[in-house]
Amino acid sequence: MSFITDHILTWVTFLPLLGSLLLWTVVRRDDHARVFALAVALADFVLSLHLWFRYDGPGGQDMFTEKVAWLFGGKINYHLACDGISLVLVMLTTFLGPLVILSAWKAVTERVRDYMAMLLFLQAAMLGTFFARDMLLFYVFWEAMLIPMYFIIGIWGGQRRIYAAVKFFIFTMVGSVFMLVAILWMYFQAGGMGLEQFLALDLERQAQLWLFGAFILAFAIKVPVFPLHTWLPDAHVEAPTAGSVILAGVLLKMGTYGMLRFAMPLFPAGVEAFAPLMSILAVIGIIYGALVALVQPDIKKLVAYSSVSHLGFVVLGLFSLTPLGVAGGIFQMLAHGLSTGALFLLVGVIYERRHTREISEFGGLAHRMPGYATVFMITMLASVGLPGLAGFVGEFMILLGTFGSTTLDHPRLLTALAATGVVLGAIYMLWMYQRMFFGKLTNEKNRDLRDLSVREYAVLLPLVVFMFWLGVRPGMVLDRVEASVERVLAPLAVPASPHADDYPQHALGGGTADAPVFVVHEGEAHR
Amino acid sequence: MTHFEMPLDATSWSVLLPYLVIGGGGLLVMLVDAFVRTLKKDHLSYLTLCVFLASIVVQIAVHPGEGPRLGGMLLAGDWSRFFNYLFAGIGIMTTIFATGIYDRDGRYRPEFYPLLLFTVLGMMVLAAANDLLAVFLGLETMSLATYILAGGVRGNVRSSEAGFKYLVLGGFSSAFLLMGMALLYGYAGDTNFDAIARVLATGGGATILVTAGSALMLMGFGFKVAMVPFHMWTPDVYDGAPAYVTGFMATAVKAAGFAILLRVALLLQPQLAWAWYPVLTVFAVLTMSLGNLVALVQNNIKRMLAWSSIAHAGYLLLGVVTLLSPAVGDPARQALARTVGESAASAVLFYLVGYSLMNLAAFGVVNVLSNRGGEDADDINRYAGLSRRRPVAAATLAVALLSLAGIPPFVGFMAKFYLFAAVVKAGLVPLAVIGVINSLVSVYYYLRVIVVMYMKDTEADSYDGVEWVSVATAGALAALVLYLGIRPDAFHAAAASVIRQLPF
Amino acid sequence: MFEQFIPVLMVLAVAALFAGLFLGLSNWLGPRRPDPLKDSTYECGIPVRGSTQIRFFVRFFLVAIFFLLFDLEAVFIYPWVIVYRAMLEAGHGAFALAEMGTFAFVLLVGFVYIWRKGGLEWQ
Repeated sequence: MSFITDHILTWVTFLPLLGSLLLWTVVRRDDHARVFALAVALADFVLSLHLWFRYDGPGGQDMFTEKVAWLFGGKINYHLACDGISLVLVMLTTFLGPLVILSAWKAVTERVRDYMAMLLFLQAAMLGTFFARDMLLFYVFWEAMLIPMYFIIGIWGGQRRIYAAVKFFIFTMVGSVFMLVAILWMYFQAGGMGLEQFLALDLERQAQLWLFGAFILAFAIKVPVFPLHTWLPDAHVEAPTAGSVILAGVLLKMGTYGMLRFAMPLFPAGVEAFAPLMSILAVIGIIYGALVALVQPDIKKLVAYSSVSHLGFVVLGLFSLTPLGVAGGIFQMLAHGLSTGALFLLVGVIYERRHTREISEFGGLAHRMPGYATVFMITMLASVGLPGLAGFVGEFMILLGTFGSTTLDHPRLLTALAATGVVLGAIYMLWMYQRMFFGKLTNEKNRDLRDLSVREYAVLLPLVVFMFWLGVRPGMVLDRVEASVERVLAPLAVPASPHADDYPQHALGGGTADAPVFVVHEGEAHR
Repeated sequence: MTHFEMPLDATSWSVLLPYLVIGGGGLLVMLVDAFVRTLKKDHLSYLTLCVFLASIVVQIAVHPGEGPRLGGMLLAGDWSRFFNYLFAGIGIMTTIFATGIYDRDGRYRPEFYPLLLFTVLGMMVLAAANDLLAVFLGLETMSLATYILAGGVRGNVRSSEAGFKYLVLGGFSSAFLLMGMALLYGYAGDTNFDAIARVLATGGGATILVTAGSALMLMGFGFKVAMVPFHMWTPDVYDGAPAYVTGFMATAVKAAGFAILLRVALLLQPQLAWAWYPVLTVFAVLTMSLGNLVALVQNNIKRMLAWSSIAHAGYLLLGVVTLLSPAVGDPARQALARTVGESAASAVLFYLVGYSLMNLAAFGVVNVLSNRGGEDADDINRYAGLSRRRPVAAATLAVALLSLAGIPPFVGFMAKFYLFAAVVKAGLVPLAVIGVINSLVSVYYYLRVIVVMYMKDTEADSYDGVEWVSVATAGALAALVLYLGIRPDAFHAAAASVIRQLPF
Repeated sequence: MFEQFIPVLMVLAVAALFAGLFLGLSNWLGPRRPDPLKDSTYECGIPVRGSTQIRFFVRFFLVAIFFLLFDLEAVFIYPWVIVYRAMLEAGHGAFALAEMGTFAFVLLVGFVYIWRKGGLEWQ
């Protein structure tokens, strides 16, 4: 086995790619393609479990490093590594992989082989993005990700799929080409493309501002941060279910991951200058997303706008520049991946049965589909942030972190405004749930709806389990993340909080019992 | 008058050998065509392929060493070998694409093969030229044959128009080039590059002559590489010519033009960078911007690829600009001249090869369809549903287009990476930004074709039959596009070593 | 460097001056009394018959082009002739002959090609 474990990151990243190549060349029949793709995705998940159990990087170090000279005799390398932050996002990706393939079992009937191959290709590119520690390698994976997603939306999407696919592609490209120029410029300053070489640079403030702008544009479009979000609802609504799940579950996290991994540690001066703006945009995103979600007649659009709102929390947490807020942001990425991914799957389930997503078409579904209603309820509550479920922990940590931030201008005001987003989130979700599931079954077309099938339970139950699990034992994730967060943010030299007495800075490391952070400690206790 | 160098010695023969193989091969193909009555249709193309392969084998086997040979007329060594391989490779691909698809009305055109060989001969001379006379000889041999190739579909109005337009404008540009050479000769008193370099180095003579001369020569070369504002012929000629000829022109002729442009730029750089640099900067920006913007609104795939090839000429010109940049401005930057020049020139070489691969792959597919669909076969909308009925052809075209758009993991991205890296290295960040904005614009029209092929569908199959050899060849090129996109380093290092071998 | 061209420029200037002068003078001094006969095309004093744009058989053009081609190639022999004696004296006579032989051979191949392809047949 050592030939696998020695190059575990390469295996995890390229196994899906290998699978997609085999799908295109060897596999002929559709039903074989489904089984084969599922097997590959499951195998990838099993491989990634190796990372999960073996990762114990002291001080949040990179582990499993692989480094091979690629270009210019070693100035640019094939350099993969995994630290706590990468780890949790990779686990999310490989975990969603098989579920997504399973969800497309019946929904996709045309060009199944191509569809499965695209999903696996996409997974490989996403994993590579999380592992890459060389800027050019990162950029290659980052851009390569566009191709399969473009085809997934454009071929298997809804009515306006072409518009949505092209818009998705162009928007993302707009951001990333400027990042490429910034990377090139830094390459000649640093003498190499390695992330550690970039980190070692000591750049002037003016240069940092420009470079930060170029990087943050790419990542902010991907997240998406408020004024740049317009591609997201289109892409989500038009994408097939599996595409939406991957998009919400993993792809959007690329943006926040990029901010955390690259934009923030590389340009402290840029962060200092832009943090107020970013936090304000994040808060606008939270409230705007929630308000727009409130009035959506289409469930999928509602969930899409709720993503804008939830990702706003993540950005706010990151730019609070407190360990608590950042760790909360990472946790929220994970929780959002699970809950929103599950919501899109649930929307897919009802769309497969009724071929409509209008909320007004439904009502009283709880009578016909009790199982569906239960799963939907749990998922929705996780998304809203009910304590005990995954969504709560992240949002709460973010709000706490923002409140204690010393770098933002009006931390308490921002926290208060962001908190209204939580309330609005509860309103639109619960209202939607009420309209869809409660009351009398009025629409005749809903009379014969089947409840969830075994396959659909198999897709959804793992997600539900993890929503609970992360809700009661967040330490499982936070333990692995906290040291890496501190290491990544070390260049920022976050000043000590004036509220240090109220909200201990060492909370993440395991402080004394203080009500707001009990969740963390519970995790600690069970370790 | 009485001094003669020793005529052809052994080294000279070894230098001449590849040229003799191609030229003699051309004559041979002509004679076989004229005398062998029992010839089957494909035999000439096999013979042509053999000639190209023989020229490659000869170059692998015989190494005449580095430096000017034949009384300083031709430059022997890695530089010319690099381009000779490239031209022979493009020639082989073009022969394969042309075979079996002679023209729209199915008429057999045997004169294509000798013309192709003579064009390649001209290109080889042009790329290896070390003397203004050789430049002109190569350029005209290449051009005359291409005029006929472009207008080669007899009875087709658009093809005849293409040939005629190309001939008239090409003759015009040759006149400019010749005038420029005359002025340069008037300045240096010699046509040999090394002698001109020596005179330039001493700084004597009337600068006005060399400035005006080089400006006129720039016009001549600019015409060949389709540089704005000398690009007017390109869309009509690329559209009118048969697709395999268009593919050949867009790759080989452009590569030959850039080969000599690079040589002349390197030659004149110490004295004339101040004049060329601003002019070429403006032209480069204009070329890529206009090419990309006009390509956006094209409905005919050949016209679209024509405008896109103008845009790519713009990126390549950016490389030439970068090459010249260190010689302009403060002395601190002149210290960079060697390294910047090297990375810019090697980036241009890499780009030329990458561009040739992906463009040939695209034209290989377009060529097959172009001949099977009647009058409007090149309309992009006719490609609807191609991915279902011709999955290999569609996938090949998609890979080629994504690569042309500069998206990883294809060679187009790596080519742009090397190029923009050189631009940024020279400190020309604004130009790099303009470059990436341009490649952003280009994404839209390349994607449009993919949208039609993969995301739209029609009931009817609008193309009857497919020439599988061409599709397989194009597919192999696409595989190479992918491979060089992932492992470009060895090849780029080879390009860099070619540049290091150059005398100046 | 330019001084040596001054006489050439002077010749050009004088030529242009005289040409312009006489054209202008005849235009200015000459009487003008147009009539239909005077306005018609001048055809050696004979009345014009038919259109001036008559079509020629395309073969005439082909023959003209072939003639031009080979005639021009023959021009290249002149410079060779001039250096041939010098090359003979330098001991490279055989080489010089071989070079011209190659040139002539390439021409011959072209000629044979035209012939075999039926370019010389009048039909």
